[in-house]
Amino acid sequence: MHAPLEAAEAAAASLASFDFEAIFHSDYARIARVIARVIGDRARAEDLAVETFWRLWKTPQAQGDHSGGWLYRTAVRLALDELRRRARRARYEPLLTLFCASPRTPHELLSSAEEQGRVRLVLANIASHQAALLLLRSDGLPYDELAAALSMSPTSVGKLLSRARAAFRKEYVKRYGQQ
Amino acid sequence: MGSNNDINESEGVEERLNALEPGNEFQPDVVRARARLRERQGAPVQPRRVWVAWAAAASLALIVLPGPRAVAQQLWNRLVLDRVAVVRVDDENLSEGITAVFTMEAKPYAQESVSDIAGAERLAGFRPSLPPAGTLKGIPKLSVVKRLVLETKPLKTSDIEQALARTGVRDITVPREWEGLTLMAEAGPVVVAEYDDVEVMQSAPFRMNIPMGFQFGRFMEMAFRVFGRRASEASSLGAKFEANPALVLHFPEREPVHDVHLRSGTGIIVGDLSGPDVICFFWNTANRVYIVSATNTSEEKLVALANAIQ
Repeated sequence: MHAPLEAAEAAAASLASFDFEAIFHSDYARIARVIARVIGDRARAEDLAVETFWRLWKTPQAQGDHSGGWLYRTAVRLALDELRRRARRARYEPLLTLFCASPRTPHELLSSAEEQGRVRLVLANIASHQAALLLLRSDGLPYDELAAALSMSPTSVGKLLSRARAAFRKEYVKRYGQQ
Repeated sequence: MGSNNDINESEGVEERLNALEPGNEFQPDVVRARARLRERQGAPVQPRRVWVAWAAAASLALIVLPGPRAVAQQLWNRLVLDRVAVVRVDDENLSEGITAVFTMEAKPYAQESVSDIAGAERLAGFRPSLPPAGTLKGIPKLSVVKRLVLETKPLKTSDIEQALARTGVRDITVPREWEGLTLMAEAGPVVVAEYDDVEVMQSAPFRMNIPMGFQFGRFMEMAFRVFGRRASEASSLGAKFEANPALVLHFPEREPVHDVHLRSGTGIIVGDLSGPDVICFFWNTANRVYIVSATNTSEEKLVALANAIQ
């Protein structure tokens, strides 16, 4: 009977104790590194990390005990959006460049390191939720935190992770063959 | 058996993802980031700058020569590029030092998110055409770049002479009065619609500003020579663009390119539709240039898309 009231009180208490400054200082570097991992561009990663915290600041419902997972999820989504955008633009940008040195491939533009470029291109071409799951897991998030960050049932994380790995593997093999 | 496969797959994928580690030398600047965020917290609206990295790296050259649409504005000729043309060039063996002589660099620009088509129209000054709902996957994220400016570095006649000489061209003289001149191009407003697998950009015609009296035909002829065209071809290309200004797309000879028939005319598809990479699709109407980049698509879908948004 009183459960909704108790939940609301708990949420209010959590919000009241929310310390944006503390969260920013404790989590900014970690979030910037998560993004840098995905896009490989450190300056841009810092732009997007600031954008992540800006979104946290203006989204009251994201503030509270669960803000850590929310930050992770938002950061990875922003990073994946950026990765996809870059992959697309890398394709048409050189075509608009009449007087440019040999056009680089999307892969070359995404990273100078071969394997990093491949992995990023694969991540840019599988479903976003699968890429996010793989990246957060690879960043060390345990199943329960993954479930909280991506709003999924903890019992389904293993199955979804397995599907995401299969999708990654399939896309990788399609592009680069069995290696 | 299945479990072993799962374990192997898991390890294989983890190993690949580990290649992305940014390295310990990356130390995010918390103090600077907090200052930037504080600025934003104090400001009501901050335009997105998602293209900054692209713009910084991009170099875009637009070919055009004075034609009937050239309008004198102070000391500049303002040229409108309202059609897309194709030029295939061989740039395989050219160094950046040579090509930089003819390259324009994009200045940083702002890209502002909008919530709907009406918002895009307010910012862009034209109503963007989008395909009917359901034609493409996802809900489009809309944004507008009001103006994108591209500029050459001040021309150095000695650099142009060197670029010509390095590619074996010795029968062209570079006018001395070009020294220090800058060429400027403008694009926009551009409305960008990002769907799940497709990005549609539509722009007002591109413009180019060149100093009054500048012989752009000569400049372009030199560029084409540097990029491997024979003297007669380079000269005739210059004349062609002089008669009919155009936004010129540069297609390396190795790129698969083909034309498709649209209701509004001809579109150009660049890339291998059977492969996994992003393909590009360009076309124009009387007052709009369209650029589409897409994955997982087909010629049929692209033609339907273009016909749906005209």
